[in-house]
Amino acid sequence: MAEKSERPTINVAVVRGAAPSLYDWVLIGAEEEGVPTKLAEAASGDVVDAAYAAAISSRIDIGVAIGADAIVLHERHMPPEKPVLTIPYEGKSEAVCRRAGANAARMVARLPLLFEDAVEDVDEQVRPASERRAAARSAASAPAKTAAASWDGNGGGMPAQGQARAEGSAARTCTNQHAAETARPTAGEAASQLALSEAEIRKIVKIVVAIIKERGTQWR
Amino acid sequence: MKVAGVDIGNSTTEVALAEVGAPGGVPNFLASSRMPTTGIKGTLANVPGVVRALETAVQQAGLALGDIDLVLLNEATPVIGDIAMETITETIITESSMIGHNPNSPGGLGIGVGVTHDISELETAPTDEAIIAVVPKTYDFTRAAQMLAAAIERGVDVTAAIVQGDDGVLIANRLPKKLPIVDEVKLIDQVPLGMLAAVEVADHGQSIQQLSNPYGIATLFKLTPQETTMIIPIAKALIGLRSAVVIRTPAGDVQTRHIPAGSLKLIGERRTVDAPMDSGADAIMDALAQAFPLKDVEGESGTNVGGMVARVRQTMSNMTKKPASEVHIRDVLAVDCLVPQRVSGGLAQEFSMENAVGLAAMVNTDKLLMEQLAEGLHKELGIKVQLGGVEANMAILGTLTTPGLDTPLAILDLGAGSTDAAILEKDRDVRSVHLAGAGDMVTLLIQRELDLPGGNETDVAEQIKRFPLVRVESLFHVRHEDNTVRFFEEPLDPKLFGRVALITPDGLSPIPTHHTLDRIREVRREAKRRVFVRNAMRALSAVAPAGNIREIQFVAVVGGSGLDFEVARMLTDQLAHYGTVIGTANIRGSLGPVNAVATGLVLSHARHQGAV
Repeated sequence: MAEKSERPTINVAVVRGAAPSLYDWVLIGAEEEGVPTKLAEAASGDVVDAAYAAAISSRIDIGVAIGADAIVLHERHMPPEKPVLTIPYEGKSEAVCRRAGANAARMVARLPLLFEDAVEDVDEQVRPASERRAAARSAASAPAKTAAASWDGNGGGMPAQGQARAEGSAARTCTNQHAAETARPTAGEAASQLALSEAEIRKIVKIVVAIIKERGTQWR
Repeated sequence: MKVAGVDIGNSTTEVALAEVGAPGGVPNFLASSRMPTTGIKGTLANVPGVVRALETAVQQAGLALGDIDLVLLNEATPVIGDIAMETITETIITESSMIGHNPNSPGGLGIGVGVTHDISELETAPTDEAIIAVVPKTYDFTRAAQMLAAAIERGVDVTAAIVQGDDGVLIANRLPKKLPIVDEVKLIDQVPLGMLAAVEVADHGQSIQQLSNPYGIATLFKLTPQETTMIIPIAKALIGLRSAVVIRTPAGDVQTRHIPAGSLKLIGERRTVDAPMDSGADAIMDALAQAFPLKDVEGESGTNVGGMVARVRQTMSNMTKKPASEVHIRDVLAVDCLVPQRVSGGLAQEFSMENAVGLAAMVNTDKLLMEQLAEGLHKELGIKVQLGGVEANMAILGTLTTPGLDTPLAILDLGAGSTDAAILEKDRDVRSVHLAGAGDMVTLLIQRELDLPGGNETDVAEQIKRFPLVRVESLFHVRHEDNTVRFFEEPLDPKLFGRVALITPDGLSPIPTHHTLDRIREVRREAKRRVFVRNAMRALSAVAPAGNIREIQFVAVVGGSGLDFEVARMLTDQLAHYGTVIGTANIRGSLGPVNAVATGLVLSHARHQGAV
């Protein structure tokens, strides 16, 4: 149980086999939302058990466990075997961990959680033309020349699809590039080289996922 | 013989199926049904909906369609309504000169004034002038913080920052001094560089003070009184936000443009009154009262309202296949509202609340249409179809099946398209009135005021109208509108966490907006008050003896919107001032406020048959 004197924090455990650097991303996510975190001892090799133990040891009842291929968010009152969220990395471990940190903090703040696939913000459905141009520009400035080409090629006929394609290839390029760059200590630099931030990657991926779901198309 | 009474409404088609025995005998009701109306009320497109409603009813009774001997239609449901809404003001920024928004988490605190510089120019920036750094997404927060900190150490007077990514707090936490930082500015490449700007971030739970005050902006930028009047719309749009940026560009010009809203010409039987739209809904309704009874309405051509009235007329003309010049608007209901509109020229997709007027209009149809419909239905079913009595009389007859009700009686029919009232007194004919605006208008107001997805997706607004709200406070409990708390055994879906949700029959359904529960509730109740309560008062005073509502003792509420969970309560509160008792009808002692007209048609037929 938590000590009375202890500062209230979100407790984060790094399970054996997980990359310790991912803790920084959880911390950044929580920091932007204004909630402190603490690195806790992993009580178990199992990521769900570790998350539950972290939640029990937290004075604000929220625990996170970073696993080898998924991150788990847990809360004290949940049944131990049923975490609040389990999010697999799927090649985007840093973005996933940052979002998990933000979500842990949002649970403390009682704010709605962020979900990758929830395309619910009005301003994402109706994006002004200038922003679309900006997206296309950033796609063009990224090494993905094909992205810009497909945008141009589609410019007249089906602008919406053209944009989707441009964004799709931009997103693809960043994930690839990203994977290649994960060895670097600050992956933010990888993103900056691509003229794209984590948030933007997240957003683009979100849009692409929504499009794939809608059309059932396979992006390769 | 088996008789089916059919009432086609704006949104639902209701059926009452009964066995009518000996002439003058009491009909034995077998089944009732309620299905969505297909097409616009009073047109041939209604036939499929009627057939479906009849099928549902016969199934309930264990019969087949062929067993029905006679179908009764209400006579020329006399009115069809349409609704429209137009904004009458619009904020336009001709040069980008303000960013005012509520990012989830702006960084730092306070107010900073300086000249905008790209972060890459900080290394060479002069140390003798105040500077606001503009940070595109290409700089992640560690790098941006390092560059800002280095510049500050070198003696550059950095007073604030404008950041594209969601990194405001992260950057602020990594700086040697506290700076206001506005983040999530999406169109950062449109922020002009080398311009004087001001950035303000308020503390948690507070809103900005200086930039939402026109004289505050004037002080910061040393504006003349003439220039100060120009920036009033900016200050207005920034009220209540936690963070904002105002940039002074030489050609910068923000203005509230008044769209020529035009005026409505209300042509009454005795006099004609002009009502300018921009004087608001109350002025229009006053003018309407002066022109009553109304013969037609015209909108000033070349203006918004002109377009609106022309659209209503065109829809009706297409439907009734009458020339538009012969379509007459018999009633309008105008409602003021404030709708969020995207500011054209804003940099962070700002919204500004603009004045708008919603208008519900009503057009008389003619009997011919209903006869065509009866003919079409007869062809489809092969069953004899008759036009029954006047709708208001039928509604009263049906309502009288409510236990405990007797004449004299007034009924208030709250439907989807129109609000109707009828009164029955001893030894007098039934008097009735049909007014524009009911449930659909409420849905439109909710949709527009909360900026919910529109068009065919008014679903969310419709649901908000129908169901009470809760706020999901933890994974195990929700708080209701009345502040009571309800706990759950099983944890809720994490997607509901922290959200405002609706209690629907299928469980909790999250509302996809960022509005608070209080705001949604206020908008919902206000919309109902401005449509239902207002129309109820208008309708009752139109039918009351000598126009005096006090003369009415009992009012029974019928119609689909009578099922609403709070309207009856609102009406009770309002009518209490007049000493009038109001209650929701319970047709045939079991159906609640619906099926009044359909039931009345059957009763009237049975009685009529007895007289023959």
